[in-house]
Amino acid sequence: MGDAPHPGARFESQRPVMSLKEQKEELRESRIVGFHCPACKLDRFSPMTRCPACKSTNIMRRQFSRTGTVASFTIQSVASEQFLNETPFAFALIQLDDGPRVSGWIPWIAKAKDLALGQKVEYVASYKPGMQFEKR
Amino acid sequence: MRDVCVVGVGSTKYGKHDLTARELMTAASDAALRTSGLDPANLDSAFFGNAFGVAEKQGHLGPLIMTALGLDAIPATVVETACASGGTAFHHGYREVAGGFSDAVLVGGVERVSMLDTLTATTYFAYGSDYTYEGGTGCSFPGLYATMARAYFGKYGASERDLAHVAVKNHANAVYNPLAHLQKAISVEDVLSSMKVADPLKLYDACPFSDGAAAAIVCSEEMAKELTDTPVYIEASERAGSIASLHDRTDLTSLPGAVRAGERALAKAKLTLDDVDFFEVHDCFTIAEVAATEDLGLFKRGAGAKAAVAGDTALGGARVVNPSGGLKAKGHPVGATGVGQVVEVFEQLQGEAGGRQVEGAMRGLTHNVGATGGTVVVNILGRRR
Repeated sequence: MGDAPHPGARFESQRPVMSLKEQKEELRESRIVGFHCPACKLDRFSPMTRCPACKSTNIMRRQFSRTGTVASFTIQSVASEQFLNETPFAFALIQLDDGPRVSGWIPWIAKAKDLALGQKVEYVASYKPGMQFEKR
Repeated sequence: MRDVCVVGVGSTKYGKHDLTARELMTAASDAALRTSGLDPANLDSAFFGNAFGVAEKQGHLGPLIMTALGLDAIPATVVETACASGGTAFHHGYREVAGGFSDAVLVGGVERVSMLDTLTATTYFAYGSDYTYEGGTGCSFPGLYATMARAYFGKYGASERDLAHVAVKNHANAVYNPLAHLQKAISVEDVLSSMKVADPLKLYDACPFSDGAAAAIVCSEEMAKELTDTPVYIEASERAGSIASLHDRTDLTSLPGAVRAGERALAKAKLTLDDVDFFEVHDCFTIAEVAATEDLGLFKRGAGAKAAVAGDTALGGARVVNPSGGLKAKGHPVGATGVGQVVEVFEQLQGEAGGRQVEGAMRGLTHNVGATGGTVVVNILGRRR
């Protein structure tokens, strides 16, 4: 007990390996960087401090590929505030070629027939919010 | 753990109201107190579900309601688990009584959003998603369920027309529900020709933005027997979670938390699905009802959509689903919905459901989902012979 670090020090040692702000900065540089459990080889783009499979807290940063395929998608005809002027566009769940699934959006897709499950896509850095992809 | 009962319920009509959330919740609570016959002095605590207090710029709703009820000394807690807020409030009321911390609890849920324009409402609802990645990448709430629908179509070969039957069935039931927001029958063609909201989902695949409040009085068996000859027992109340964001899940056609909570509820109540007369499930979108019926085990994986087409989920079908009209047609005042499902079960078990009455109903199950399943509440309520 006597040697325990003060609560503040404990927190500093347990900061996530990457903050959301840092992840965003990587995206601006065209790099998709997420979280990785080396024991399970499990990748995740959302914050992870404990592996859901092996419960290890040895979590590292890992850079994923910028290319992937569409796992599912929708055409957003009605969108929320930040995307008011972008409709219609596609919101897609994208399976990265080397990495996990991520949520992304693809501009200029107005109809479901303009996109298909399995479509190859690539990440493009953009000043707009969210992760933007384009067809390959 | 002791036996817990529901002895009274109250609800506003769902729809558009000029009353604020605090007024709606007060009215439903008062109705529940009156129908239960409980002396308000015997109430020990209160739990309310509410998701978008921000819409009215009002936090700390609990004491406002208790003050209006003249019960200012009773502690009240507002819980938020997105669209499962009401179910979660009910669950915590149940735990209070089961654990012996309270003898009688007022549980409720309320939402008021109709004064918002569509853009603002769509934005607030997106706050219930993983806003960093989903909402912040342009996805609306219907958009999340639309990606689930497309994945379901891809995996099992179902169609938009199949899903339309879910909406048609729920609207047909709501015609007989005086509390329903959309008390009108619709056709498959009406659904298919309605505006695309998030392809493949259309306006009539989606529940409406509703205002409303629902309440229930939960108490110990001992107290219930003093109040009524026909108490409704809470035979199980279970909650479970799922991975929060869709992109982190492997299977997009199921909500793992619903499977977990459903299995646990049946095990706790020592029942099988055949012992349950009807199911009030969280059909915020038509695809959500199909996923719910498969997650709860009513139908095999991939068979839920076809079962709806075949009429198996209609009144008189093998597995009656959403006799109230569901979120789709009864309406979805977000924080109220989980408690509103209990209101429906209570009325059905008292034989007071009129044209939508499930013949001889002795037991009903409720299934209430927060967001895309991050929270799921399953309750089983029954009468004892």
